[in-house]
Amino acid sequence: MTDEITIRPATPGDAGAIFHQRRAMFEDVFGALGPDDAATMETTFIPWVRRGLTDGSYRGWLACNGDGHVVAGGGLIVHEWMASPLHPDPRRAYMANVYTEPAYRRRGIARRIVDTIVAWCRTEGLKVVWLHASPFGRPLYESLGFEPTNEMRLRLG
Amino acid sequence: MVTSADDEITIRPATVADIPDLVRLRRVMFEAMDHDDPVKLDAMEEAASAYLAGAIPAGEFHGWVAVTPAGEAVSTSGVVIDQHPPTPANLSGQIGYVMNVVTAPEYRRQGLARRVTQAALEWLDGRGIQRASLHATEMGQPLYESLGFEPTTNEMRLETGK
Repeated sequence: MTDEITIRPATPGDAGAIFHQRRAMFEDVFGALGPDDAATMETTFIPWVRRGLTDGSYRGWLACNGDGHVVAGGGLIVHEWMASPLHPDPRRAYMANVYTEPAYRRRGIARRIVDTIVAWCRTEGLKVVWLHASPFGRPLYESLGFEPTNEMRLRLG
Repeated sequence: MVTSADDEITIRPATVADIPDLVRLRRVMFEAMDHDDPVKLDAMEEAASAYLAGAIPAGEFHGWVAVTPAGEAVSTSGVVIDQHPPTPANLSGQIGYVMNVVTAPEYRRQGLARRVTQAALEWLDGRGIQRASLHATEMGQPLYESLGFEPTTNEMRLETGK
C-alpha cells in the first residue's frame, strides 16, 4: 500500500466498485443488509449506474491508492428544477455515494472527493449542490459550507 | 376530475394553457416567502414560463390547478420525478418532488391546497412512486404533517457562488 492517492473520473467499468461503496455506505449507517435486500439492490443498482456513467446522467469520481485500488469515491446527478427568484437556472446538482474504505479514513480523502465534485459543479455553472448527510459525513459538509434545509418526506403506497 | 359540492371548485391536471396562472401563483408563493425584489421575481416568471413550456408537453412537470366555476385558477400544485440512485427501501430510486403548492390569498382556509396536494400524491401513488419530498414553508408545514410528511434532518445544501 502506498499513501499516494489520486482522484479520477469513474467509467462504466467501475459500476461494481461503486455498488460496493454504496452498499458499504448504507451498512455503515443502517447495519448489515439482509441477503435478499443486498441481492435486489445489486441487480437494480449496477445496471442503473452503468447506464448513468455511459450516458452522463450519473457522474462519479474515485480515489485510488498507488496500486490503483479504489479506496474512496463519490457521485453526482444533475436534476431539472423550476426557476426560483434566487436561481433562474433550472438545474440542481445532487451528490451521493460519498464513501471511504475504513482503512483509508481520517486522511481527508472524502474532502478531496467532495471538493472535486463541487469544483466540477462550479465549472459547469451549477449554483446549488444538495445531498443527504450521514452522521459521519455531516461535519465534513458543514465545514464546506453546506447548510441544513426544510425538507419533508412522505412514504407512499 | 374531482369536484366538491361545497364550493364548486374543481381540481384538474394543468396544461400549457395554465402556464400564466401557474407562474402568477408561483410569484405569490415566493412573495409569501419574503422575496420582494420585483426584478428577480420578473426574471423568475420568465424563466419558469420557458421551463414549463417545455416540461409540461414533455411530461417532465405534472401540475394540478383548482378552478372556480368562472374558470379562474386559484390554487396549484406540481410534481417532478427525480431519479436518485436506488436504495434498499426504494429500489426504483424515483422520488416525487412536490412543489408550487400555493393558493390565492382570498381562497385560503378552504382546503384547496390539501386537495391539489392530494391530487399530486394520488397521481404519484398510481405511478408506483414510493417516495415524495418537498420543502415546506412555515405556512405549509401543518398541512404536510397532516398528510403524513415528516421532517428530514439530514438534507444539506450548498450555494456554490457564495
